[in-house]
Amino acid sequence: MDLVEFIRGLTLQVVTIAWFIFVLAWFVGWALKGAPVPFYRLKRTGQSLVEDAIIAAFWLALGSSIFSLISYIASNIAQPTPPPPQP
Amino acid sequence: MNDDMLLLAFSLAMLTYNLGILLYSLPIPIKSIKRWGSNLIVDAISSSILISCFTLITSLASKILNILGSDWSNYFMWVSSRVVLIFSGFSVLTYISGLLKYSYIVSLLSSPINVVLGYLSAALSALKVLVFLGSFILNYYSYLMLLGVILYSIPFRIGKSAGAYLIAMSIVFYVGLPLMPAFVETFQSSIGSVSLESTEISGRVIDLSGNAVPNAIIQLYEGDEVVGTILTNSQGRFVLGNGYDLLPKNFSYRISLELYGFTFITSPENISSDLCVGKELCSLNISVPGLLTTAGGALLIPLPTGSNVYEVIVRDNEVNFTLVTNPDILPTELYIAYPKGTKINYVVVNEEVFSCQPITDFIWYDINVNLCSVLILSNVSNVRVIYEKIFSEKPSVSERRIISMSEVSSFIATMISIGMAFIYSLVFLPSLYLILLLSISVSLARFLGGRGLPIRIF
Repeated sequence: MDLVEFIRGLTLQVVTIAWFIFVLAWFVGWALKGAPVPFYRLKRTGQSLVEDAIIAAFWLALGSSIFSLISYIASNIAQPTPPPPQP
Repeated sequence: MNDDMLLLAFSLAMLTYNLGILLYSLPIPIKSIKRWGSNLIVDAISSSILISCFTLITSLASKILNILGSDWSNYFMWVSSRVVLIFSGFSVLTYISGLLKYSYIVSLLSSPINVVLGYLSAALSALKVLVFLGSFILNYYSYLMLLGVILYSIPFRIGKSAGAYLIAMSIVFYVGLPLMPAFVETFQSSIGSVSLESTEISGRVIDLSGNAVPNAIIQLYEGDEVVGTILTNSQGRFVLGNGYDLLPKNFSYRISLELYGFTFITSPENISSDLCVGKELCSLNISVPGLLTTAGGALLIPLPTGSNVYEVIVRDNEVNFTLVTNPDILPTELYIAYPKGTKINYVVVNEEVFSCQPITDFIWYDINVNLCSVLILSNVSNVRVIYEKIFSEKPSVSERRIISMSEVSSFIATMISIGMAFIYSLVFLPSLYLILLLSISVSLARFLGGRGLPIRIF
């Protein structure tokens, strides 16, 4: 189906951009944290950017695994109940 | 088709998930953007659960349908039985209103009938809507659910509430709509069948030898006033009541029978309500002792006063009988009346042949009637009439049916209550039930498309 292919291509592009943004956020975060400026709030922002980038990278890496886990559990639930045992 | 749509929904969920991560990892220190990112991730997970459980949900809906004991075929049977009921009501009421066109109290009776006909039309339209809704839900509920799932999975919660409503509505209607007959039957008043609930008297008019008298006119008198004019059919049958007349509870009418310009006294002489005590359907045969006719009404032989007839034999194109007359009135004339569609060949009286030329002719309700006479000299005569029937005619008379004024008020009340019962059972109760189902759908949609799963992404 063309629409599905299109959405898949879009997803791939989003994933690629997300990885780039992760790298960017990582560097920006560390740059802010390590900047030779004595502002605590700036360092705190850099810290939170690095943390968010790590969490996002974690979910990004786990993405397909989460969906396959949900499908696996749902398909197990959806299976018909086995017949009662015969004596 | 289902798998393709589910795949599309799943791709949309993946896209939502990755967009959520993208937003979450943006190096912009604004809280709302981060919150949107985590919301999108949670939405993607909840919609993927919904997609994976799609088969489970549909089978669960069928399971609930079975547990509740409802059945789609029962629903359609219920609707079609109601349609049949309405159509029978329609036919009865249109028939009655057609008859009332000839009545002298037209406006009084036809207005409640028209009101009820309007009610029935409304009820019929409501039933058509129910049939359409039922077949639409039954055939397309899985597609509606799939559409709902796709809308649910679109990123940024664009179609989330619409999708949740579609899913909820298709489940609720698929399970709930077949239960409508049970709901309506619980609360409805009796609609039964549409009838006038008056007595019906039917039977045949027969001549002295037991032959049917077709196309004769029965006049009903109350005192000296004619209150009813009824035409017998081609088999000599007549019907009084049963939607044709609105008979009073107690009545007694004198009967007289008219055929080809002759008027006869009948047996019984009166028709009364005592015939039908405790019965709705009763039968009465009216015999005419002074009349001899042939099958099909080709000939009419009025007997001379004080005479009797024996050994009547009616064959094709021949009538044979023995006439015993009172010797005091001899010689007398035997009249034979016959319409234009009949040709008399000859008449044999005691082996003497007469040609029976018409002595006079006249018009009786647009039928050209000829009259011939034969002289009877002895008190016992064997008469044989040889004739040919070319065609038969019906008198052009408009029937006058009996409409009792005392019954009109109860008739109007009955009509209005029937109409109201139809509206209540087939429009009001189904509408109420549909509103109930819609409100249940809204509640389920709020549950499905509410604030999302209570999960926090760190």
